[in-house]
This record gives sequence, C-alpha cells and structure tokens, in this order.
Amino acid sequence: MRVLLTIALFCIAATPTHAGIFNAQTATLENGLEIVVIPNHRAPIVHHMLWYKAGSAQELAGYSGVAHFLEHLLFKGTDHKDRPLEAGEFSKIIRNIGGQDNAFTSTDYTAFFQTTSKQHLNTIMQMEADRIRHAMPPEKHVLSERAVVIEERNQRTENNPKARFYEQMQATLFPSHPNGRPVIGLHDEIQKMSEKDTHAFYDQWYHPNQAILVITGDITLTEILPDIKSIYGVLPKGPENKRHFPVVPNFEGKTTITQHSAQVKQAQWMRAIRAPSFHQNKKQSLALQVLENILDGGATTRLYKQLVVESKMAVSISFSYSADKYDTSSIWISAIPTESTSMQELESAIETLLTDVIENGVTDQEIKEAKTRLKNAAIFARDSLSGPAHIIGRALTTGSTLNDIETWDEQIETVTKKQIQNVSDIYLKSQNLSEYRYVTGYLLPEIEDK
Amino acid sequence: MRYILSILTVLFFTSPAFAKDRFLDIQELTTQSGISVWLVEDHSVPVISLKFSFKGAGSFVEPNEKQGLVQLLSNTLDEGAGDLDSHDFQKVLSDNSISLSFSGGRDNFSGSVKTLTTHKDKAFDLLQLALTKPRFDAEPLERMKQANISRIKQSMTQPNWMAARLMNDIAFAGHPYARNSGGTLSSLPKITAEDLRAFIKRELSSERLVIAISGDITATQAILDIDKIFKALPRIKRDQLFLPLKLQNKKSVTLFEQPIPQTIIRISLPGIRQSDGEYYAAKVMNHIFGGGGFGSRLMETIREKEGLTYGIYSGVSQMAMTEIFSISTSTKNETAKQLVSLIKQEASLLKETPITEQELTDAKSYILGSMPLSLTSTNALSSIMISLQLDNLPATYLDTIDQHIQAITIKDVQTVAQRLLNFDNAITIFVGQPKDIAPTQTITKLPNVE
Repeated sequence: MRVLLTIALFCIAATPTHAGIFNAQTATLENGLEIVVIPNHRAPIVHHMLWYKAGSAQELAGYSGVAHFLEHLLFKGTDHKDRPLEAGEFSKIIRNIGGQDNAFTSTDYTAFFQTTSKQHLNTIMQMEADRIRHAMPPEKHVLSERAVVIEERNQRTENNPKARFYEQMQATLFPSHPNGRPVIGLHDEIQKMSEKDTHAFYDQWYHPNQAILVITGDITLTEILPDIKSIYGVLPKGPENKRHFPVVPNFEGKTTITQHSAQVKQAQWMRAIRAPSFHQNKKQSLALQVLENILDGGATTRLYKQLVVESKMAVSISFSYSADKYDTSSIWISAIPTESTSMQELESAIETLLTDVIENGVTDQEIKEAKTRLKNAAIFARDSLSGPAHIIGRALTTGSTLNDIETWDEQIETVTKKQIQNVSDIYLKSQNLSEYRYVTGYLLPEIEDK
Repeated sequence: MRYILSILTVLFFTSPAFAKDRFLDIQELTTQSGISVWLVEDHSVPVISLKFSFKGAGSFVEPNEKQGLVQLLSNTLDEGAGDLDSHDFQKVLSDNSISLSFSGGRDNFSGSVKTLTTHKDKAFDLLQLALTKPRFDAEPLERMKQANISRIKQSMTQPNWMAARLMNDIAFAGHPYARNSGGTLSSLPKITAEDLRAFIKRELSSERLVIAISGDITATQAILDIDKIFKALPRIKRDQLFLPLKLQNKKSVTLFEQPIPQTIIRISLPGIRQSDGEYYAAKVMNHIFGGGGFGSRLMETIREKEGLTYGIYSGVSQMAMTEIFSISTSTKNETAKQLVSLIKQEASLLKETPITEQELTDAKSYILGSMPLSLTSTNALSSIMISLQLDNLPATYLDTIDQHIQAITIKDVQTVAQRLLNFDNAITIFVGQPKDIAPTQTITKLPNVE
C-alpha cells in the first residue's frame, strides 16, 4: 500500500494548529474527507473514529431504521479485492490486537470507532477505509442481523413504558419531520427491510466527502497525515448530497398526550419544546445553553431549588436542551411530582416558574455562575481520551465548525441577559400564544378500578 | 509470537503516569499521622481525583428493618456540614465545579472528589467537613428519602432491575446480601438522623480506610492534604463482621411474569475468588465463553449465528463474602427456552473439547492488551487504585498480571470450565412471558421492594 503514498501528497490543505479548548489539528483531503487530530499523550493509545454526516434523518419515509441497520451490517464483512473480511472478522481482529470497537447511529450522524494501542493505528485505518465502499454482508447474515436489531428495539423500547412514551412524544413534537422518528426504526418497518434498502442508503451517504475522521491520543497530525493520505486519500470522492429537511408548522392549540400503563408505578410529567439547534441559530442556541444551566445546573439552581427543595412540588426535575442537531432541536423538561402533588399542580408550578423567568429575567449573578460552571466543564472535558473525539464529531456532523467548538467558552461568555430573556420568551412561554411549539405528556400508573 | 511481542510494548508506558518498568507508576505514601494513600501523578490536565472506601461499612451491616441506611447516608452526607446548611454546602460545590459524592455498596462505603487544581483546597475542606461534621438536617433527609422512594418506583418498570433484585434475593437467601441495599418503600421512612450518626460513629473508622489520589498533585502535597482530611476520623479497631456465603437455591428456576415482548434471563453459578489458583484460567475461559462481547462463543452462536439476542455476557465477580459466575441476556419470549439450551450447549462444548491454540493466544492478547485502554482519565486512575486496595492486592499487582495470564494453558481453561460451568448448580431467573419454560417457582410480587 505504501506505493500509493505520493498520490495524495500535493492535494492537502492543512491548517496550522488551532489554539482552543482541545487544541485540535485539522486538514482536509482532496477527496473531501475532513480530518481532526486531538493529541493526548497520557498513554500510548489512540481512539479512532469515522463519522458519516448521515443518520436516521436522511431515511426515506417508510424506511425508518435503515441508517441504524446499515451500521450493524458494516460489521458483516467486506469484499475488497486485496483484503476481504468475513462477517464479524472486523471486530475479531480489533479484539485480538487488544483493542475495542463499536458504532452508533443518531438522527444526524453514524459513527464507527476503535480504541487500540498506537502501533495498530494503521491497521484499523485500513480496515475502516475499506468498509467505506466495500461493505458486502452475505444474505444469511442480513437476516440474522435484522432479528438482532428487532431484539435491540425490544430491549431498548418495547420492554420499557417510559421509552415507548418518549417515542410518542417525539413523534407528536415533530409531525412529518424525520426528527420525530425513532432512530432504531419502527418494528414493522425494520421487519420488512432488505439489504437492497440499506445498500441504497450506503451508496448515497458512505463516501469520504461525507465523512469526518477524528483521531485522539498519542499522535499528532504531522505524524499521521502521510498514512491517512495513503490509506483514506486514495478513495474517490462520492456524490454531493445535501441534507434536506421539511418545515414543522407550529400548533394552533395545546397538544397533550396522556398514557396510563400497568407497568408504570411512578407518575411523570414531561414537556418537549421545539427549539433551534446551534447550526440553525448560534445566538439563540448559546443563550439556551446558558439558560439551561441557570435553570438546571445543580442543586442550587432555579428548578431544583424552587420546586424540589422549597415548595416540595417535585421529587426531581430536569431541563435539558441539546444544541447538537443539524435541523430543529428540542428542550425537554421532565418532573416527578411528590406524593401530595397532582399533575395539574405540578404543571402550574413549573409554568409559574418559567413565567417568572420570562417576565422578570434572570439575575446577573445567576448568569455569572452558570458561565463559570460551563467554562469549567470545558476544562473537565479534556480529561478523557474518547470524550473530546465524541464532542467534536457530534458538533461537526451537525453543522458546527471546529472554530465554534474550540472557542465555545469564549462564545458562552458573550451571552447577554437580554438574549436569555429573549429565548425564554420565545421558547418557554406556555400561555397566551398564537402558535404552540410544545407537547405536554402525562405518564401515569393504571387507573384503579373502584 | 507476533501478539506476545505487541503486548509487551503496550504494557510498558513512557508517559509520566506510566513509568518505564511498571504498568502504572503507583506511589505508596504514608502521611505524618500514619494514614496510607496511593498516588498516581499526572499533570496533563489541571484535575485531581480523590477516592476512598471504608472497608466493611457497606449495606450488609445495616439492620434488616432499616434497609437503605447506607444508601441514604451516601445521599445526605453532602447535604450540609458544620456551619453550612444543605443549600450553602451545595452552593460552594456548584460555584467551584467540585464533584463530591458518596456511595454505599454491599461491602463498603465509598466517596469521591473530583476538582480542578485551583479549587483543590476548597474541595478537600468540604470533604473533611462532610466526614466529620455532617448535619443531617430534617429537610434534606426527608427530601432524599422521597427521592429514593421515587427511584424505587421507577425501577419497578425496569425488567433488568427486577431480575437483579430477584437474583439477589434467591441466590443470597438468608444472608445480609439478600437485602435490598437501595432500601424499600417501607424501610426508608424509618431511618432517622440518629441512625445515620450512629452508623458513622461505629463504621467510618480510619482503620478501615483505603485512599487513592490521582492527577495534578505532587506526593508532598498529597501527604499534607490527606492528613488534613482524614486524621480527625476515629480510629476504632473492630473485628469485621464476616459471614461466608455459599450460593443458595441451586437448581431453581424462578419466573416473574411481566407484560413485555422479551424475557430477561439471568443465570448465576458458584464462582471463583481472585486468590484461587485457577482464577486466571477462569478469566481466560470467561473471555472465550461470554466475557468478551463480540467474538465470544455465546455472542457468536446466539447473536451472530442465530439472531436471538442483542447481547449476551458472562462474568466472573467477587464480593467480600461470596463469588459468582453469571450470565445475562434477553430474547423474545418465544425463544427463551431455545436460548437457554444454546447456553448449555456452548458450556458443554467448552468442557468437553479443548480450545484451539489460536483462541488461547487471542484471549491472552485481548486481556493484556486492553488493560491500558480504560486508564485514560484522572478518575479511572484513582478507581483502579481503590479496586486493588479493596481486593487486598499490592500496588505491583498490575505488573504481575502478564505472567499469570501468559502461564495459562489450553488444559487449564478446560479444567476450570469443567469446574465452573456446571448448570446443575444454576440459579435461573426469567422476567417476562417465556414460552415453554417449567419454573420451579413463580413469583407474583418482588421481595423486599415495598
């Protein structure tokens, strides 16, 4: 393979070392593959990840779960003419060199990763590069793996009333939008899926120009770039695909889902609100990140302090907002009422608290403390081998730039009180709206027969 | 030989935490007041992790009618100490991004502090205060009881939790280990602040303490800090309660019916202790049988070939007073019986037919080669040092694993398989609606939950 090394040499646009949270180093190959290397010399090991900018959001209607099923099938062998692999051989090779490997699929990305000692990096790069275009699962493995995926869905979702409820909330929040579909797919759609279906997805999305290579560990870009070029650089560029999303109209009225289940012993209140991702609206997303921390940054922040410690309406409460989506993201508020509190009382207490934030804003002190916690979290994020690779891969595949990630702490610092009040007003308001962007859910124990 | 060579290069690290001639450069220190502490220095990120355990202060010593006492202690110890009430205590933690937490296991009571170097003194002061002057104010105590009760009710929807609870109750019947260490709906309300104080006074003695510290701190500084934190603790020399336990209810098959599409399957067999001459053979055997995830025989046959499950794992584990070989998996209700017979078939094969030379080499290669992969955060370094001390192993232990594992032969693996994989001794739990299973007992209500 070394003879191919020179081919890609002249076509690299490497940028200088980037100063920031992770000090990541970056380059782009001529075939469009983006490369990020985060040196971490604590131990002579590396974490190697290949991220594709495609996930369940790119599936066609009726084929939910194709992206995830394909992820499974990428472990079922390759038909590269010089280096074919049998089904399952990929993981066995990794294991036998003392390494670990796996993969995951989400709405906007699919990622494959391995952790091994540094000296095996080229071996795993070669195997990963080969399955970008040469995955070829035999028919019998496709069928048995489909059964495995159904068992996975059973284990994750069908066994668990909360997971089933979450799936309904998600579908209601994003009507006819791919973010409303479960990543793993619907049972009846997985059941009839064939290799032809996964292959169409594979041919459309698995190409170097739609992928990002992230390597973290005992390595630098300068050291590894020649090998990356000789291994990944020889792959041809694929078609240019645009990720396309439908618009979700706001609701004209309040939407609620109530579900009673014999399996449920503890009632739970949930509200999901559509909100912009970082990719859609940087300013609002940063303000939402600070707001999230002001409301739910610990035991002394607003939600827990007021509703769990002081008024005793809730046993627990959480507020979470995810910035990492290519298209529309969401805020989830979830709470468990105390024995003596009804769902209606809990809901009205939460709405009152949110109204207070909207009308009176948050304090300068709260903003300062939240920003400090967020900036400290950025330092802790470096204390890991795989963590930074995951953060960077997730952000880049959902439309952020490396500069956005490296300067995240500085951008958080710029968020103003006014911006926080503005996003509160748009996204947290529950009454007197002309358009609604939220769904409220009540998950309840079975109604007792009198 | 190729693999063996690569293992040696993995084992001997060159970065600061990993001295040239040792797997991990653990410094064994003694403070001025005679407290011992293990340290791994690593200044690559400005983070310090301190972990400690009081041996024998776990839930097995709590009174039967006060199950959950140790759990509740772990929840309330950081809820106010000295002049700081719950809010003020939590506020200092939050404002300085200090993670301080306690946890109660069956055998031990443990604590953990993770802090940025800049906030080390504050973090250690708070820990010292929590251990010596906890307040156990009525408000946080009640709040934590409610949180635990709610957690139990939420667990009651999780079939995996149900299976684990049942296994403890049945396999450890008659022993304190059989109790519910998380507490029950009726035992938690009975626990008082006095109970917590009495427990601390009786059990949290520096005589039982093991301590590990890692990260951005020098030996000189660590010695001073450890003394400051722990020297005021009482030094009570008491005999530890020791009730050796043989697994109970062998040959039993217990069914707990749940309205779910899958059956959760757990099987326990008598295990093996680390001090046993055949322990390393058992580690290798387990890796080949079902311990290694992909590539293990159980995973290959039951997931990869038959498509019956998303995951199947076996494991060797020990507690202070007993040891278990366990298998856990799940499958659709229709195939529960088939899956169990496949497990037994694989066990028979391992007992009757010697493994291949390649399988042995591959297993050794993985076990040794993967050792450093998890040691990539400051927390992981202190965790491994605590585990070694809790298992009464020397700091040099990690350097000796290589020779122990390399010495294992094909015959050793077969012998230990014949000793351990004896399904006549099995304790089996099914949660779900398995078809064609003949249980020896059917449970309609989970023991020790309400």
